Amino acid sequence: MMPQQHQQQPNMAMQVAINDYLKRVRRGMFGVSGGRKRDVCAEIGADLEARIAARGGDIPGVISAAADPKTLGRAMRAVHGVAWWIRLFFWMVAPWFGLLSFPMIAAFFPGMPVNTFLFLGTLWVVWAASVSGRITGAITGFLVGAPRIIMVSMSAAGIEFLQSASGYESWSVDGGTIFVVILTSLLLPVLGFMLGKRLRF
Amino acid sequence: MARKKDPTTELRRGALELGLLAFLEREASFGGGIITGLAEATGGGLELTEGALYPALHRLEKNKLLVSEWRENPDGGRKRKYYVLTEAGRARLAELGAAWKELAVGLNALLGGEDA
Repeated sequence: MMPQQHQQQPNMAMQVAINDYLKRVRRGMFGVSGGRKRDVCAEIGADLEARIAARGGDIPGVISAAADPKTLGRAMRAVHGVAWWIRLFFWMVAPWFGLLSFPMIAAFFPGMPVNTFLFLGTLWVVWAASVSGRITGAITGFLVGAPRIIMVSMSAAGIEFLQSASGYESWSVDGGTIFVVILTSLLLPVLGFMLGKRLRF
Repeated sequence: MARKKDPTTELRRGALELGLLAFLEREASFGGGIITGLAEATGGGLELTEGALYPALHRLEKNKLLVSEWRENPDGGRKRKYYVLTEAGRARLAELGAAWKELAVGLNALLGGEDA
Protein backbone atom coordinates (compact mmCIF):
# COMPACT_ATOMS: atom_id res chain seq x y z
CA MET A 1 0.00 0.00 0.00
CA MET A 2 2.73 2.46 0.92
CA PRO A 3 4.87 2.28 -2.28
CA GLN A 4 1.76 2.79 -4.37
CA GLN A 5 0.89 5.90 -2.35
CA HIS A 6 4.41 7.25 -2.80
CA GLN A 7 4.12 6.75 -6.55
CA GLN A 8 0.72 8.42 -6.74
CA GLN A 9 1.73 11.54 -4.82
CA PRO A 10 4.49 12.75 -7.22
CA ASN A 11 2.25 11.84 -10.15
CA MET A 12 -0.56 13.95 -8.73
CA ALA A 13 1.86 16.80 -7.94
CA MET A 14 3.11 16.62 -11.53
CA GLN A 15 -0.41 16.81 -12.96
CA VAL A 16 -1.26 19.76 -10.70
CA ALA A 17 1.91 21.63 -11.74
CA ILE A 18 1.33 20.89 -15.45
CA ASN A 19 -2.33 21.87 -15.28
CA ASP A 20 -1.43 25.12 -13.50
CA TYR A 21 1.12 25.89 -16.25
CA LEU A 22 -1.39 25.04 -18.98
CA LYS A 23 -4.03 27.22 -17.35
CA ARG A 24 -1.71 30.19 -17.82
CA VAL A 25 -0.92 29.18 -21.42
CA ARG A 26 -4.68 29.08 -22.07
CA ARG A 27 -5.02 32.56 -20.59
CA GLY A 28 -2.35 33.83 -23.02
CA MET A 29 -4.34 32.27 -25.87
CA PHE A 30 -7.38 34.41 -25.11
CA GLY A 31 -9.66 34.52 -28.14
CA VAL A 32 -8.30 31.39 -29.85
CA SER A 33 -10.93 28.73 -30.59
CA GLY A 34 -11.54 26.17 -27.83
CA GLY A 35 -10.51 23.19 -29.98
CA ARG A 36 -7.20 24.76 -30.89
CA LYS A 37 -6.50 25.65 -27.24
CA ARG A 38 -7.16 22.06 -26.19
CA ASP A 39 -4.87 20.74 -28.92
CA VAL A 40 -2.00 23.09 -28.00
CA CYS A 41 -2.36 22.40 -24.26
CA ALA A 42 -2.48 18.62 -24.79
CA GLU A 43 0.73 18.84 -26.79
CA ILE A 44 2.58 21.04 -24.29
CA GLY A 45 1.27 18.99 -21.35
CA ALA A 46 2.54 15.73 -22.84
CA ASP A 47 5.95 17.28 -23.52
CA LEU A 48 6.23 18.66 -19.98
CA GLU A 49 5.31 15.26 -18.60
CA ALA A 50 8.01 13.60 -20.73
CA ARG A 51 10.61 16.12 -19.60
CA ILE A 52 9.72 15.73 -15.93
CA ALA A 53 10.01 11.96 -16.29
CA ALA A 54 13.36 12.32 -18.09
CA ARG A 55 14.68 14.52 -15.28
CA GLY A 56 13.77 12.07 -12.56
CA GLY A 57 10.59 13.83 -11.44
CA ASP A 58 12.14 17.28 -11.01
CA ILE A 59 8.80 19.11 -11.31
CA PRO A 60 9.87 22.61 -10.11
CA GLY A 61 13.06 22.43 -12.19
CA VAL A 62 11.22 21.64 -15.42
CA ILE A 63 8.38 24.08 -14.83
CA SER A 64 10.70 26.96 -13.93
CA ALA A 65 12.91 26.25 -16.96
CA ALA A 66 9.90 26.22 -19.28
CA ALA A 67 8.95 29.32 -21.27
CA ASP A 68 6.74 31.95 -19.65
CA PRO A 69 3.29 30.38 -20.18
CA LYS A 70 1.43 33.58 -20.98
CA THR A 71 4.04 34.67 -23.53
CA LEU A 72 3.93 31.20 -25.07
CA GLY A 73 0.13 31.42 -25.26
CA ARG A 74 0.31 34.80 -26.98
CA ALA A 75 2.87 33.46 -29.47
CA MET A 76 0.52 30.58 -30.27
CA ARG A 77 -2.34 33.04 -30.72
CA ALA A 78 -0.17 35.00 -33.17
CA VAL A 79 0.20 31.80 -35.23
CA HIS A 80 -3.42 30.60 -35.14
CA GLY A 81 -5.32 33.87 -34.79
CA VAL A 82 -8.50 34.35 -32.81
CA ALA A 83 -11.79 32.57 -33.37
CA TRP A 84 -13.97 33.93 -36.19
CA TRP A 85 -16.75 34.97 -33.79
CA ILE A 86 -14.39 37.28 -31.86
CA ARG A 87 -13.44 39.04 -35.08
CA LEU A 88 -17.11 39.26 -36.03
CA PHE A 89 -17.91 40.74 -32.62
CA PHE A 90 -15.26 43.46 -33.08
CA TRP A 91 -16.61 44.24 -36.55
CA MET A 92 -20.27 44.31 -35.54
CA VAL A 93 -19.73 46.73 -32.66
CA ALA A 94 -17.30 49.03 -34.52
CA PRO A 95 -19.82 50.92 -36.76
CA TRP A 96 -21.83 51.95 -33.68
CA PHE A 97 -18.84 53.84 -32.34
CA GLY A 98 -18.52 55.48 -35.75
CA LEU A 99 -22.18 56.55 -35.79
CA LEU A 100 -22.23 57.78 -32.21
CA SER A 101 -18.99 59.73 -32.61
CA PHE A 102 -20.25 61.64 -35.65
CA PRO A 103 -20.04 65.35 -34.58
CA MET A 104 -23.26 66.54 -36.25
CA ILE A 105 -25.33 64.07 -34.29
CA ALA A 106 -25.02 66.53 -31.40
CA ALA A 107 -27.19 68.93 -33.43
CA PHE A 108 -30.09 66.46 -33.07
CA PHE A 109 -29.20 65.12 -29.64
CA PRO A 110 -27.63 67.94 -27.61
CA GLY A 111 -25.32 66.64 -24.91
CA MET A 112 -24.34 63.54 -26.89
CA PRO A 113 -20.70 62.89 -25.86
CA VAL A 114 -19.41 62.38 -29.40
CA ASN A 115 -15.77 62.84 -28.42
CA THR A 116 -16.14 60.21 -25.73
CA PHE A 117 -17.52 57.81 -28.35
CA LEU A 118 -14.63 58.66 -30.66
CA PHE A 119 -12.23 57.90 -27.82
CA LEU A 120 -14.04 54.62 -27.07
CA GLY A 121 -14.01 53.76 -30.77
CA THR A 122 -10.26 54.32 -30.86
CA LEU A 123 -9.83 52.08 -27.81
CA TRP A 124 -11.99 49.47 -29.54
CA VAL A 125 -9.66 49.53 -32.56
CA VAL A 126 -6.60 49.25 -30.30
CA TRP A 127 -8.16 46.31 -28.46
CA ALA A 128 -9.16 44.53 -31.67
CA ALA A 129 -5.66 45.00 -33.08
CA SER A 130 -3.93 43.78 -29.95
CA VAL A 131 -6.10 40.67 -29.59
CA SER A 132 -6.52 39.77 -33.20
CA GLY A 133 -3.67 41.26 -35.22
CA ARG A 134 -3.27 43.96 -37.81
CA ILE A 135 -5.78 42.82 -40.44
CA THR A 136 -8.61 42.67 -37.89
CA GLY A 137 -7.32 45.95 -36.40
CA ALA A 138 -7.36 47.66 -39.81
CA ILE A 139 -10.85 46.34 -40.68
CA THR A 140 -12.19 47.39 -37.26
CA GLY A 141 -10.67 50.84 -37.76
CA PHE A 142 -12.25 51.03 -41.20
CA LEU A 143 -15.64 50.03 -39.78
CA VAL A 144 -15.43 52.77 -37.12
CA GLY A 145 -14.24 55.37 -39.66
CA ALA A 146 -16.46 54.53 -42.66
CA PRO A 147 -19.83 55.53 -41.09
CA ARG A 148 -18.30 58.83 -40.04
CA ILE A 149 -17.13 59.58 -43.59
CA ILE A 150 -20.46 58.46 -45.08
CA MET A 151 -22.41 60.56 -42.56
CA VAL A 152 -20.29 63.69 -43.02
CA SER A 153 -20.59 63.42 -46.81
CA MET A 154 -24.36 62.90 -46.60
CA SER A 155 -24.76 65.77 -44.12
CA ALA A 156 -22.73 68.18 -46.22
CA ALA A 157 -24.58 67.23 -49.41
CA GLY A 158 -27.98 67.26 -47.67
CA ILE A 159 -27.47 70.66 -46.06
CA GLU A 160 -26.22 72.14 -49.30
CA PHE A 161 -29.30 70.77 -51.10
CA LEU A 162 -31.65 72.17 -48.45
CA GLN A 163 -29.95 75.54 -48.58
CA SER A 164 -30.17 75.73 -52.35
CA ALA A 165 -33.78 74.53 -52.35
CA SER A 166 -35.12 76.65 -49.52
CA GLY A 167 -32.64 79.47 -49.07
CA TYR A 168 -32.65 78.64 -45.36
CA GLU A 169 -29.05 79.08 -44.17
CA SER A 170 -29.24 78.43 -40.49
CA TRP A 171 -27.35 75.13 -40.66
CA SER A 172 -23.92 74.75 -42.21
CA VAL A 173 -21.04 72.30 -42.21
CA ASP A 174 -17.72 74.07 -42.24
CA GLY A 175 -14.71 72.75 -44.11
CA GLY A 176 -12.65 72.41 -40.93
CA THR A 177 -15.12 69.98 -39.35
CA ILE A 178 -15.29 67.89 -42.52
CA PHE A 179 -11.50 67.78 -42.67
CA VAL A 180 -11.15 66.70 -39.00
CA VAL A 181 -13.86 64.03 -39.33
CA ILE A 182 -12.29 62.58 -42.50
CA LEU A 183 -8.75 62.74 -41.10
CA THR A 184 -9.62 61.01 -37.81
CA SER A 185 -11.68 58.41 -39.68
CA LEU A 186 -8.85 57.62 -42.08
CA LEU A 187 -6.35 57.38 -39.25
CA LEU A 188 -8.33 54.66 -37.45
CA PRO A 189 -7.61 51.79 -39.89
CA VAL A 190 -3.98 52.92 -40.08
CA LEU A 191 -3.81 52.85 -36.28
CA GLY A 192 -5.34 49.34 -36.21
CA PHE A 193 -2.88 48.08 -38.80
CA MET A 194 0.18 49.64 -37.16
CA LEU A 195 -0.67 48.52 -33.63
CA GLY A 196 -1.74 45.02 -34.66
CA LYS A 197 1.84 43.98 -35.18
CA ARG A 198 3.28 45.69 -32.13
CA LEU A 199 0.74 45.11 -29.37
CA ARG A 200 -0.10 41.72 -27.92
CA PHE A 201 -2.28 41.69 -24.83
CA MET B 1 12.44 53.32 -28.54
CA ALA B 2 13.16 50.26 -30.70
CA ARG B 3 13.81 47.13 -28.63
CA LYS B 4 17.42 45.99 -28.79
CA LYS B 5 17.63 42.42 -30.04
CA ASP B 6 20.43 40.00 -29.27
CA PRO B 7 22.19 39.41 -32.63
CA THR B 8 22.93 35.75 -31.78
CA THR B 9 19.27 35.13 -31.02
CA GLU B 10 18.30 36.78 -34.29
CA LEU B 11 20.76 34.61 -36.21
CA ARG B 12 19.46 31.45 -34.53
CA ARG B 13 15.86 32.44 -35.20
CA GLY B 14 16.68 32.63 -38.88
CA ALA B 15 18.21 29.15 -38.77
CA LEU B 16 15.31 27.68 -36.79
CA GLU B 17 13.14 26.66 -39.74
CA LEU B 18 16.06 25.00 -41.48
CA GLY B 19 17.13 23.24 -38.26
CA LEU B 20 13.65 21.90 -37.58
CA LEU B 21 13.12 20.66 -41.12
CA ALA B 22 16.56 19.02 -41.19
CA PHE B 23 15.99 17.33 -37.84
CA LEU B 24 12.54 16.06 -38.77
CA GLU B 25 13.85 14.68 -42.05
CA ARG B 26 15.84 12.17 -39.99
CA GLU B 27 12.88 11.03 -37.92
CA ALA B 28 9.42 12.10 -36.82
CA SER B 29 9.52 13.55 -33.33
CA PHE B 30 7.52 15.38 -30.66
CA GLY B 31 8.24 18.77 -29.05
CA GLY B 32 10.32 17.55 -26.10
CA GLY B 33 12.20 15.12 -28.33
CA ILE B 34 12.97 17.86 -30.84
CA ILE B 35 14.38 20.20 -28.16
CA THR B 36 16.70 17.50 -26.79
CA GLY B 37 17.55 15.95 -30.16
CA LEU B 38 18.30 19.24 -31.88
CA ALA B 39 20.57 20.41 -29.05
CA GLU B 40 22.46 17.09 -29.17
CA ALA B 41 22.69 16.98 -32.96
CA THR B 42 24.06 20.52 -33.18
CA GLY B 43 26.39 20.20 -30.18
CA GLY B 44 24.34 22.77 -28.30
CA GLY B 45 24.41 25.19 -31.23
CA LEU B 46 20.64 25.22 -31.59
CA GLU B 47 19.15 25.08 -28.12
CA LEU B 48 15.47 25.89 -28.26
CA THR B 49 12.93 26.91 -25.70
CA GLU B 50 9.23 26.04 -25.91
CA GLY B 51 8.55 29.70 -26.60
CA ALA B 52 10.36 29.44 -29.91
CA LEU B 53 9.67 25.79 -30.72
CA TYR B 54 5.88 25.46 -30.60
CA PRO B 55 5.05 28.60 -32.60
CA ALA B 56 7.64 27.56 -35.21
CA LEU B 57 6.28 24.01 -35.44
CA HIS B 58 2.70 25.22 -35.72
CA ARG B 59 3.67 27.79 -38.36
CA LEU B 60 5.42 25.10 -40.41
CA GLU B 61 2.37 22.87 -40.05
CA LYS B 62 0.09 25.69 -41.10
CA ASN B 63 2.27 26.16 -44.19
CA LYS B 64 1.89 22.41 -44.89
CA LEU B 65 5.61 21.75 -44.53
CA LEU B 66 4.88 19.40 -41.61
CA VAL B 67 1.95 17.24 -40.60
CA SER B 68 1.26 16.11 -37.06
CA GLU B 69 -0.23 12.97 -35.59
CA TRP B 70 -0.98 11.87 -32.05
CA ARG B 71 0.85 8.71 -31.02
CA GLU B 72 0.68 6.58 -27.92
CA ASN B 73 3.40 7.24 -25.37
CA PRO B 74 5.51 4.07 -25.11
CA ASP B 75 6.06 4.79 -21.39
CA GLY B 76 2.34 5.18 -20.71
CA GLY B 77 1.10 8.67 -19.83
CA ARG B 78 -0.31 11.28 -22.19
CA LYS B 79 -0.31 10.83 -25.96
CA ARG B 80 2.38 12.80 -27.78
CA LYS B 81 2.05 14.91 -30.88
CA TYR B 82 4.59 13.82 -33.48
CA TYR B 83 5.62 15.97 -36.42
CA VAL B 84 6.40 14.43 -39.81
CA LEU B 85 8.00 16.17 -42.78
CA THR B 86 5.81 16.44 -45.88
CA GLU B 87 6.92 16.45 -49.53
CA ALA B 88 6.57 20.23 -49.54
CA GLY B 89 8.72 20.27 -46.39
CA ARG B 90 11.42 18.22 -48.13
CA ALA B 91 11.43 20.58 -51.09
CA ARG B 92 11.68 23.57 -48.74
CA LEU B 93 14.52 21.88 -46.85
CA ALA B 94 16.44 21.31 -50.09
CA GLU B 95 15.91 24.93 -51.07
CA LEU B 96 16.89 26.35 -47.67
CA GLY B 97 19.80 23.91 -47.30
CA ALA B 98 21.30 24.97 -50.62
CA ALA B 99 20.86 28.64 -49.76
CA TRP B 100 22.42 28.08 -46.33
CA LYS B 101 25.48 26.26 -47.75
CA GLU B 102 26.03 28.98 -50.32
CA LEU B 103 25.73 31.66 -47.64
CA ALA B 104 28.00 29.76 -45.24
CA VAL B 105 30.73 29.37 -47.88
CA GLY B 106 30.56 33.08 -48.64
CA LEU B 107 30.57 34.15 -45.01
CA ASN B 108 33.33 31.70 -44.05
CA ALA B 109 35.46 33.13 -46.83
CA LEU B 110 34.78 36.60 -45.52
CA LEU B 111 35.37 35.77 -41.86
CA GLY B 112 38.21 33.29 -42.30
CA GLY B 113 40.11 35.08 -45.07
CA GLU B 114 42.41 32.87 -47.15
CA ASP B 115 41.83 29.85 -44.85
CA ALA B 116 38.30 29.48 -46.16
